[in-house]
Amino acid sequence: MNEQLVSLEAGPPPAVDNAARDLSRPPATALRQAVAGFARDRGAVLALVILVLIALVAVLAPLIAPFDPNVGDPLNTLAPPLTAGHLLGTDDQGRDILSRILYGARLAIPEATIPVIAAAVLGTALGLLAGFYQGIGGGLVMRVLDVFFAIPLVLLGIAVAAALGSGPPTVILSMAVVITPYIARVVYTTTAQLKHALFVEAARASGSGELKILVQEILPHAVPTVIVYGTINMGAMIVFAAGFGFLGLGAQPPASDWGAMIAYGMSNLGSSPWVSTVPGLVIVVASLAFNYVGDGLRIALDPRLRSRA
Amino acid sequence: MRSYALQRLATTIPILIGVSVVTFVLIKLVPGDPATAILGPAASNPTALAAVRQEMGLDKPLVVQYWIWLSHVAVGDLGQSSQFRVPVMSVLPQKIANTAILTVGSLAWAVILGLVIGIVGAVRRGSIADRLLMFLALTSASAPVFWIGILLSYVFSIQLHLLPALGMTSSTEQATPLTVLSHLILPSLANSMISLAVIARVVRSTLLDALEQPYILAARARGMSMRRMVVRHAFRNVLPDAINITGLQVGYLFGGALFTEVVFSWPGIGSLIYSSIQARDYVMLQGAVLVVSAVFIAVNFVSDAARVALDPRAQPA
Amino acid sequence: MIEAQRQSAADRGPSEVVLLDVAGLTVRFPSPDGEVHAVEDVSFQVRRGESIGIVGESGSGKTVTCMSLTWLLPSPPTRYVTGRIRFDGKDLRRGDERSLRAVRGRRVAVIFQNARAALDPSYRIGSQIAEMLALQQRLRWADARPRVIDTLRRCNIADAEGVLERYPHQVSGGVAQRVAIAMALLARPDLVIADEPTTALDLLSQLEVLMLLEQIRDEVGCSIILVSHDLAVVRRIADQVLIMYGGRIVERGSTEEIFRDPRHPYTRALLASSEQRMQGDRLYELPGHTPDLAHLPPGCAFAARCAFAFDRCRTELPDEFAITPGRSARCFLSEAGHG
Repeated sequence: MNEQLVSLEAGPPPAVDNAARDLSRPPATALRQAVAGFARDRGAVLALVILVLIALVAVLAPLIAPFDPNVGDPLNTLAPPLTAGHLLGTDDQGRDILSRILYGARLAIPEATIPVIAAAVLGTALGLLAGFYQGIGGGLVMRVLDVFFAIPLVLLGIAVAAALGSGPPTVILSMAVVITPYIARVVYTTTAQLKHALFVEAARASGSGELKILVQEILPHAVPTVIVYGTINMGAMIVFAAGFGFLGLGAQPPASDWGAMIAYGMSNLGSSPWVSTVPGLVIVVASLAFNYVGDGLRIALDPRLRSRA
Repeated sequence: MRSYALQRLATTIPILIGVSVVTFVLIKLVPGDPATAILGPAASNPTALAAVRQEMGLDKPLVVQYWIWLSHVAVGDLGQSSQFRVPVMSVLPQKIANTAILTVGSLAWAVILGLVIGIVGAVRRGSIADRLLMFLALTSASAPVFWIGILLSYVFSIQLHLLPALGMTSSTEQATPLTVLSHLILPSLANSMISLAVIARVVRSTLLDALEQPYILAARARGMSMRRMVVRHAFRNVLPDAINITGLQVGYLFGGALFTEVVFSWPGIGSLIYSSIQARDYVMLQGAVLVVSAVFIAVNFVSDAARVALDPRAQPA
Repeated sequence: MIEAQRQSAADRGPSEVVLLDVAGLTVRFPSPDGEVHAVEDVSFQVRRGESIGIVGESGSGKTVTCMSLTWLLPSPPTRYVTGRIRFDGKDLRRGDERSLRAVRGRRVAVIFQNARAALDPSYRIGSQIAEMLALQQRLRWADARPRVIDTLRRCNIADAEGVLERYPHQVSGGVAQRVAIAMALLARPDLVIADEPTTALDLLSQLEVLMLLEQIRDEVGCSIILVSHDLAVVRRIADQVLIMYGGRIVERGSTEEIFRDPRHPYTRALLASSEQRMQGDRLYELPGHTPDLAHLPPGCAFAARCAFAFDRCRTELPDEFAITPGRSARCFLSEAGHG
């Protein structure tokens, strides 16, 4: 707010350098400050708690689920939520939706996280190398990535999944293939920018080898961006993975895939909307949680971004 | 402008070729022998099998197969669909047109609602309305498109009987533009959610920036109403970024319509791709992915060119 | 009403009628470091035809105070904690945008420090003046144009027609400031708030602007609030002076009294620095920093830099102790019995 008044006072406002992050701070202190900054953001912390809960649920599902997710109760089909014993109701085979949701987490979490982690590793490597060495090899890598960008995200994933057959491994592989180019491009841009930064020149002058510079000097600056990007993307991946399940390309029935559950509930939508609605709500919560955590990380890592709420 | 167009065109050709390679490779990766699929039970006859394989060129080296396929594609022959038993090229144009209709509808929702939400959010910054709207936008954007579609279907179609739930036209009535429009409303709304949220956020953010300009405060000091300040003085600065971000959405909306089409049985290219996967119609799948990518690239090119033309500061995607 | 104004202007002295009555104004903003206490418990009155000067360094709260007089600052994020503002006998209620819009510009005109920044760079100067007149007085440009040109000329803008056709960035700072004054003149307001109108200008233009302000005052008979960090600027025009520091008024009195017998140590420092500047000496600089408005000390905000501070100053906030009617200082040195 004060900027407005200051602008009305004499002279141009001082230039604000939005481009370069504070490169003089060693990454270690930056990390500590980032953690503190994150802790202050109550929304992000709450979201993190939710994520941890979901992860716990995924691990503990066999212990806490009230029913076997694959076994239906023919006497109790299409029971609405808050029926006795079935907090979230049952589907048309009488299977308890709550249990299926809990077990579904065991599919959703790996399907959301593993592709991003794999893509982060591969994408960072590709981006670093291409951005640092540039030249023919670097250019070629980026052209190849451009091809992947040229195919719509969803189509690419579906096509890969179609080629490889359905099931969680395919889903994970598909999504990793689709996300890698994005991470590679982000890292490439950062690397290309930092390639000529002062501290890199300094390291070079003090005799460090090229590869060492790449890993020790440039990588630590790419990592925060990748972490933020990756975390926010995990939210998108949960939705994307559900998409695979919805189309029947994920874990096959009777497995409790959240996306597949939504598709399954379509046939009884008029009479029993909860069968499709509940899994969707869970997906929304998980996706939002990833988003808030990622956003919190983004602001924690660069406090100047704490702009208007 | 012209040099930019030529530049983009030059990079597009290799990319298209790359896409064709990826498509080709992907289909080749599918386990199973296409010849077997075509022959069905007759595949147990080795001579017949070999004959079909030779006819399909499956005995030649991969690179040659690719070249043969590519040369067919160049003249518009994308092969024969196994599920419809007609040339792929005869089916695609209509489907693409249908998806284009869906895209235009989605864009309309995204722009109109995005603008409204963004402006309200900026003008009533920090208020309940602002926070609620932005939260709703974020939530809808975080939700699976098909789930939103199902919810919309349930509320407006099944419960309220307001709008049709499936398809592009009614099976009982005549297909007039009006019936198509009524069928278009729900699917395009569902499809627009993510773009809507993006546009809303950008509009709100740039409008807030614009409203913080010193001349806005000065105008307020002269007794100008908020409405006039926004419309006549602040909005100018919002348009470039808004157009920018909208252009970026077009390609995305086109390519991402698949789930919406499946939920609403909208007869577009997304539905086609899905049914091809089910039916193992890989020829169709190959052709469809290739053509969609080409259209995707073309659409992005046009919208990028438009953005750069309208605002020289815009960065190409 | 204009006649009545001319009459009292001709009397060359402020009337007794209170035009603006500010009571208990407290304004705060959020910031990454905590809530900024920009203005704390500020109260004062401006009479018809009276000119007052508000003086203080940047961060003292003078600008925010002026911007708050018609509740100009957007809220949120600004937090108007308390404050009652009465203009021409009527309460200015913060929520009543309609009434506020009728007052802003038309009856209370603001002249900003950076005149060029106060105009939209995408529109010509003429069209923005036209917009203002249409808004405030429902005038059509064809009818208003001659008067606008005349007013611009009387504000020493030689090429008035040319200026109307130009964009804000195409004119100099001095011309822009004169345009701003002309716009205020055209509105014929009851009150003109000039926020550091001379700071961005060269010496010659500074004098010119001050003279123009006097001209407005004499011609229109309006009251003036002149904000500056320099006491000398204010001396010429102001009948009454308010000295602000750390968001509060720390001294007030007639111009003559303030200059003759400054009571608050800060006022004395301001005077000293002003005199030395006029004599061309090296700038007299107060030791210490401007107070951090997000973390104000419990006692007097000036204590840290005050040569005369004692323990009580640091822990207890002094009231505005009356010296004579209309004259007070927020300092324990001025407390009755202190001498």
